[in-house]
Amino acid sequence: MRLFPRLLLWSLALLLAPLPGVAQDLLDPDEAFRATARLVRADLIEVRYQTAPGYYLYRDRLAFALEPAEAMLGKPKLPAGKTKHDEFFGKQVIYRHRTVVTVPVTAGSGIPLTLTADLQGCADIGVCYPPVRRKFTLLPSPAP
Amino acid sequence: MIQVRTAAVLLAAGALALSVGFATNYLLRGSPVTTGVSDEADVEGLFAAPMPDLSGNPVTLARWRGKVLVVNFWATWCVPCREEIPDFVRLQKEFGDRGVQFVGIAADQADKVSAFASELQINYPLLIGDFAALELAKRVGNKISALPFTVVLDRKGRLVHRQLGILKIDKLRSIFGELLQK
Repeated sequence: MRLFPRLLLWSLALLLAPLPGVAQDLLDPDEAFRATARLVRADLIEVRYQTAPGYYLYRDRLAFALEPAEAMLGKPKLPAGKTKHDEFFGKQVIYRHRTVVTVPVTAGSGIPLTLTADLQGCADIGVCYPPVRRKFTLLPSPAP
Repeated sequence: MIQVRTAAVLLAAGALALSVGFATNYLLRGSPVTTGVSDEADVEGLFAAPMPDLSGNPVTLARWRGKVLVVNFWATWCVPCREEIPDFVRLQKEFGDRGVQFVGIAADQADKVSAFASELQINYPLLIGDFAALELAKRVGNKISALPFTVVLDRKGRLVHRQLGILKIDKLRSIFGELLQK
């Protein structure tokens, strides 16, 4: 007969629980799509994305650029991701949760680099965020 | 003791029924996103902002004052925006001669918007807001700048509905039903 108090508690919990989508506010893009970048070696940049649960990034909207002009970026190594079928865009690769992208770099040692990383994503609830640009200053260790 | 149990069962059943009722009510209202919206409502700013149309001529929303105005902020890179536009095309056709006017403000570039407009045979004006469109949307309540975002203004230019996320055709029909009776 312990079922009844349990049922009562569950019912009350259901009654008092915030309704889905009402209490949960949509995140600001900076919180929904976190990104960090660092030089893991003199010739390799690692960009880490942390996407909040319920949000995703489009692989094909990730873009990178580097300053100063004499520094060169190689082809980014993008993880496989998940395929999302899109009525308009066809098959799209998306990234959720943690994603690590590496980008080869050729730069003179000791020169501070500015990495520009573009990203764009959406929330599962049915809204998309405009493309955003993040900037990171990367300090290579001085030449030995 | 039996009475206590009966009371507990009744209370539990009542609470369960109530919660199911609340949840059903919420789901039936069918607004997928009610958050991410602030109280800001600079409607006059929205009416006054000039934006180029697809021919490049500057237009303000003031042109459509006196209509039931549905202003949809969208972009071609936004899939849910693309999903709801065919419904807007249908409703523009259905309610256009009864005083409803849809206007799309694209947070996008003109060439992409033009291509999309012909693909979907969009039958209402599209203005090119580019990224300034997002600022304008923020001033009528879209605090996180996500899309789609739609506001409905009555004939007197009062904000009667705003929606972050897809605005369902049934919801729009019921809004028009109320506003067109007045």
